[in-house]
Amino acid sequence: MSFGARASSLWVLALVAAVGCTHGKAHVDKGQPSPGTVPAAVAVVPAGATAADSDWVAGSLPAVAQQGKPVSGGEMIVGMRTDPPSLNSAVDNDQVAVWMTHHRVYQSLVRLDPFDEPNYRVVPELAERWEISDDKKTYTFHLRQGVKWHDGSPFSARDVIATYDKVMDPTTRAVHLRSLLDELASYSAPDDHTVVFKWKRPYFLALDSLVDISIQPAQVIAGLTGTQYNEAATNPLNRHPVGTGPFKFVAWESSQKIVLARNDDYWGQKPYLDRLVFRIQTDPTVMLQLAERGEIDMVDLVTSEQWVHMDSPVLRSKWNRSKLYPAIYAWIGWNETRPYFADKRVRRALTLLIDRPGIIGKMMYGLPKPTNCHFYWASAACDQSMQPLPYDPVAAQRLLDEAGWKDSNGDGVRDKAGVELKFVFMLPVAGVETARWAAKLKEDFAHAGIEMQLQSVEWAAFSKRLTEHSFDACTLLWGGGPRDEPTQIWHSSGIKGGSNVISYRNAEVDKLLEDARSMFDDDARNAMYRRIGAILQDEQPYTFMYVRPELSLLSKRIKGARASLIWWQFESMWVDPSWNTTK
Amino acid sequence: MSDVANLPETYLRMVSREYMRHRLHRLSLHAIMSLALLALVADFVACDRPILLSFRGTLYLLPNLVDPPALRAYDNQRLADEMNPSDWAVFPPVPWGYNSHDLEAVLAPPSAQHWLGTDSGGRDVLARVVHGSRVSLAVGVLSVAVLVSIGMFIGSIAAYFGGVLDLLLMRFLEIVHAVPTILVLVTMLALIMPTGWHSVVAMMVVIGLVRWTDVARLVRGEILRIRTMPYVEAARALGAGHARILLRHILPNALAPVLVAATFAMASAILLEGALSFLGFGIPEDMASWGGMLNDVRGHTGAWWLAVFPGAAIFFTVTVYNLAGEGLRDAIDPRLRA
Repeated sequence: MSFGARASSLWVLALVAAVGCTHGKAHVDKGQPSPGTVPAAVAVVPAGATAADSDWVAGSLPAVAQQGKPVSGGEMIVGMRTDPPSLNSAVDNDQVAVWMTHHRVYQSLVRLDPFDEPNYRVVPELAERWEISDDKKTYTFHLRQGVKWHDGSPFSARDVIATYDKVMDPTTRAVHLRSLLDELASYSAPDDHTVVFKWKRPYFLALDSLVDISIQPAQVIAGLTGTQYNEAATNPLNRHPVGTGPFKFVAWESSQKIVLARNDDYWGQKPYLDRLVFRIQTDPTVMLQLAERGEIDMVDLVTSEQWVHMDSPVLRSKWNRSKLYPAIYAWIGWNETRPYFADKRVRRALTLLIDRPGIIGKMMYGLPKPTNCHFYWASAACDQSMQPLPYDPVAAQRLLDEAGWKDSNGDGVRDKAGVELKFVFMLPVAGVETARWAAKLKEDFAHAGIEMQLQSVEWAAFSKRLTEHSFDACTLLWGGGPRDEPTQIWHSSGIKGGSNVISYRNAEVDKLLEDARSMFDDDARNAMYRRIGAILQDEQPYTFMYVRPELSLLSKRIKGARASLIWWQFESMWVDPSWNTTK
Repeated sequence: MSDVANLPETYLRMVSREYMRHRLHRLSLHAIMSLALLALVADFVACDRPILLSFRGTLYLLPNLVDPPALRAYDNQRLADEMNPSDWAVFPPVPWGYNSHDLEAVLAPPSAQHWLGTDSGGRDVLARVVHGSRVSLAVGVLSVAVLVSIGMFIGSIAAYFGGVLDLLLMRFLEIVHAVPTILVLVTMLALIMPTGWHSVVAMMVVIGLVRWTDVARLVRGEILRIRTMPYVEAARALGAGHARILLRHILPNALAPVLVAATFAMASAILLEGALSFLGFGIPEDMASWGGMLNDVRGHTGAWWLAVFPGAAIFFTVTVYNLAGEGLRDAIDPRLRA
């Protein structure tokens, strides 16, 4: 598989997260806890929260804010931070476009069950059922019959083929989707209601890799060339999506709003909402003011500061707050080609020197959650019993002494064989929060005889230096989703052109990754991943920092919301007619 | 000034007399000198090490400056905790360094412990304002030195030699003038990727390389005027070379307006550094810069002290440089002379 393309899309996600606009997913909240519907886990008050914060929902999904009997009707307005470049996420790799259209307007062959925390298993969507051959290479999908496009024409295998033709066409901008299908050998439609996918090798994420590809109508796209498909002037879908999903596209006023309406011909459970409006507001402060005035029903990206200082009685009385810990974590990578980071004792010592409890608790309002796992923190791929290394400067200094890094020339900086323990810590320019704790690391490292300089690097240069391995230490976020296949990050083959930016090499990890890739038994595979986790914990190629929560507000007027890593599911939400907006 | 009999005043003396006549100008000069002094002694005002220390039988002289290896693991807090009764220390008035994190007081408002409050990393705002004066001063002085040198060189040869050279240089100047400084700076800094004080130097040089056009124009105008003066003709008649005429006879007479421009340029360089650091492209987070401190307010709008103190420092500095420039301009303007 070509690692480069996948790597760059990961980094894009990471950057977005660094700027504070991320949010893959969803969460929910809960006003008065109604006994019986609240799973025990939800009642756990997060560390650092006080009694007054009882309306917070910790990262533990799933809270069902299902109070009362659902009724149809009404409109819901969702505040969004950016206007998407287009509504065709095959052309523009834009998270907002994906959130707005994917599983709302468009549908895929299969999807992740949004409420199946923490496994998020693959469930049918446009494919009703499928068979997997014994060699795990051929997947036969039987399509749902009687499904209609929003323009009334019938859905068939022709649409699936037309969509995958566009995704695989090297002249379209669908690189980010193509890179998911590197292992796909062929696809065909034996009849109108069947499609067959053949894979080069058995791959446990084969189904997962189809989840992100929205099926588009053949009558619109089949006749377009790749270039025509890319451009809004020649491809009407870019501004006016036509799908098979529960919501129909209605209108898009650039930088103002995007309006969807219920699809009354939908084949599945029809949404309760009449209309779903995404209102674009780039300024977070204005967004909160709109929320206070009751002009929007959901604020999807609340800043930590807004969250902590949300004292307004208006917000308190009318809004539920939700906090969800996504499958995104912050890490510090120690470039192992540097002489001082080659020794695992040094890397362990550096982790021990990082005051994560202080950084999280005092500098980040106690909101992030410490992690030591590459995978989605709640999944079975993480060993829940494994504790992150503590903050222990004394043990750290002992380890450094033991590894032979002592201040032999009396300049206050540890050295060994003529090499000083001095390095540059590279950060992306936009990471204000990161820069804040990095400055703290500099002070703490200096006290332990390690000299670190900070270097904020603009994004393009940052990612270039990562791939070229031309840095000492760096920090970034990785985001994977509920299941991840991290070969490109941890396998030694990912050093060249992949995302193994720190040049990590471990024969056992290589072997485990190769085996896990074609392991279809979830328990066996997760056991392999937990073993990798234990090795990483021991070797500390990364210092795993934390998972930062995604914070949102949801009006108490909206009922039926459920938390999910896969973002909000508007199909299940309804407007409470008894909720008085003036109270 | 008492009489120096009837001797004609020197130009310098005349200008300084004119300058000092105004209270505001006088005060601004004093303020500039105080700022420079503050930048010089910043380590004595705010530091995470004592100025003098006797600790476990060893006397440390100026540990705030020399950073002795034996004290690497210590800051004021830890020293105070671990000192024996026989040990003693002279602590600086602000016992915090510009990168000392006090996690017990993150985003704390002004208090007895942190006189001007702390930032989102628990760092003392006063210590950072004091140390930030170094960056501002360095950026101001050095970038102006660079831009004045380039500007004077290009302006003077353009005006003195005239003709095609003048035409070419002036078109070149217009091109440089049209380049947006911030863009060039961001690009250059992204290319050089400096750390620590190198980023200050890089910034100063780049500001200098982009902002010389005003000085060059001014110098050119002055020299075009001076070039035709009888004393220049006289020098030429006496056989003086180009270098001698330019350096000895023309440039000194064109210097006064350059000085005025330099003072204003200083103020604008300081503002520029503030703007860049505010955007996150300037001085790295582990150093103290007023613009960078303001950056912190963006995420913490409730913490007024994060905006007010560094903002006031920038405002004050830029104002006194501008006032000084104004005073200088008035002082050398014969039409305003009493």
